[in-house]
Amino acid sequence: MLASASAQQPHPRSPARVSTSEALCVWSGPALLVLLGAGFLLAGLVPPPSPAAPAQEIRAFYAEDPDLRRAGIVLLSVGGSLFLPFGVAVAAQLRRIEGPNSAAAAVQLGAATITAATTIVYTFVMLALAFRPARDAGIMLALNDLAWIPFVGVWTPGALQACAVATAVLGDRRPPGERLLPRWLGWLSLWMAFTSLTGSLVPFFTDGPFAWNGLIGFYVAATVFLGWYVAMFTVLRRGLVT
Amino acid sequence: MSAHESPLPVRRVPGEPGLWVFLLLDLLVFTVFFGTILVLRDRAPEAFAAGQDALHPALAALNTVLLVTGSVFVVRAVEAARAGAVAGVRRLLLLGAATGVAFIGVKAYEYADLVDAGHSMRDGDFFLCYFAFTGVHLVHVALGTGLLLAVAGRARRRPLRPEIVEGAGAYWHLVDLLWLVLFPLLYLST
Amino acid sequence: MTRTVLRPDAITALWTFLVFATALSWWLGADHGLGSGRAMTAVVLAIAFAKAWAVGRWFMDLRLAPRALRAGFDLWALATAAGLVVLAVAGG
Repeated sequence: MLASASAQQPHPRSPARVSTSEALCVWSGPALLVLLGAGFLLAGLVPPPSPAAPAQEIRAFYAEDPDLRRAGIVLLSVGGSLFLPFGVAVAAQLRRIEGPNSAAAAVQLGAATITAATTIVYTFVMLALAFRPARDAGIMLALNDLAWIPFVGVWTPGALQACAVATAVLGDRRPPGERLLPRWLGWLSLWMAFTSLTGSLVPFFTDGPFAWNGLIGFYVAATVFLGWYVAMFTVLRRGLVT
Repeated sequence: MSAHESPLPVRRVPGEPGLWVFLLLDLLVFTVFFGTILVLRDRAPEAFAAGQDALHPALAALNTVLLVTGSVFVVRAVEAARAGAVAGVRRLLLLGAATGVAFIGVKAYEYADLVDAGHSMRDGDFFLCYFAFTGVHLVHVALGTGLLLAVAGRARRRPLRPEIVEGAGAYWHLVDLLWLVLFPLLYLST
Repeated sequence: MTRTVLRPDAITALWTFLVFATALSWWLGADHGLGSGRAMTAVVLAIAFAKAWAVGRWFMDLRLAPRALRAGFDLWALATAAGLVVLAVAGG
């Protein structure tokens, strides 16, 4: 949404050389977006199963097209693991801004690791749901809650990543021509962290706009969260030497 | 910036350009909130009317006056900062923050009163909208108040760059602006 | 020559407008039989967005901003007001 045409041109202030591994980390950004998007669609998780649905309905949901769901959830799991290398690419830039001992880089990488790890955990639970959909409906309901309440409702790791980026970018005292990351990215990150606070309302509702399948709880939150990754990648890509 | 040289500054973005990414995106999020209120109201007009009857528009009107008055203090603080003042900026920002604290106090009284009457965020779609959206707005007020206090703290001795006061002011006015639209949507439109 | 760019009487006028517009919309919203509820909602919303636009233009200093930012905000105010009025009047 904030990507501009100028993002396609090499950045005038690119660092002299970026390692192949760092370039791969930067490119894990679009890879994770594609994998998460494909996984969600293939597994038929958009919209997510309703939090208000009775146990039998939840069981029927996972029993329907189980192989397609399993394949989609595996893609989600692979995409989720890429939060880690992308976090490394972000941390590398924060270290260039703040120096090798950058606390912001450490917090950002730690939080990105949590984002990756928890996404993998949620997909484990979903795989268990799709693995044996004939099991007791009450257990299916409990596992479904266990996967979706935190998957949609836990916002803190992403917000921590964004706050770390904002702190480093907005604290950068270099003159405009020498900045590695633009100041608007810092403000965008603050907005992302601030807006993701609405995730706190997810555990309170089984229907309506703030529920895990609601307009704000799911769709707005997903757009804000994934939009931040789009913006981060757009900016990081400018730093790569082609 | 050229604000000091001329009584009518050249065209420029108030505060700093990047800040407007935050402000405009926040505006868009609240646009979704506004639409949500009307869509949910359309599904249950009677429940919305009943819910609105339980509210006290007088308290909300008082809060409107508080925020608008706060905005006047903040506008004058921005002008004082552009003129290179120190003490005036600080005093006006503290007055602005005081209106924020008063707003939070009125809102807390209103919430307590409604909770005493047995209402909660899960008491139907009207109270969902009321508590959730005024709650998110209240977080904005708290952040804005903190921001004004932080800038006032920095304005102790040396004159601040006017852009800093402008930026904090722009955020404060956004909080004011959002409330001006939330007020009729939640309290008035029967 | 003062460096103040928004004259004190302009600020006072804006404050008075905002407070009186609030009072007016409160009076209208309290249902004085001037029309159907939906039509009144549209009027009350129009007043709200006039206030919001005024806050943006004068308090947020968008009157000084480059054309693109000013136009963006004006467009937001107009489109959101129109969208909400349509939702309020046409719904049901």
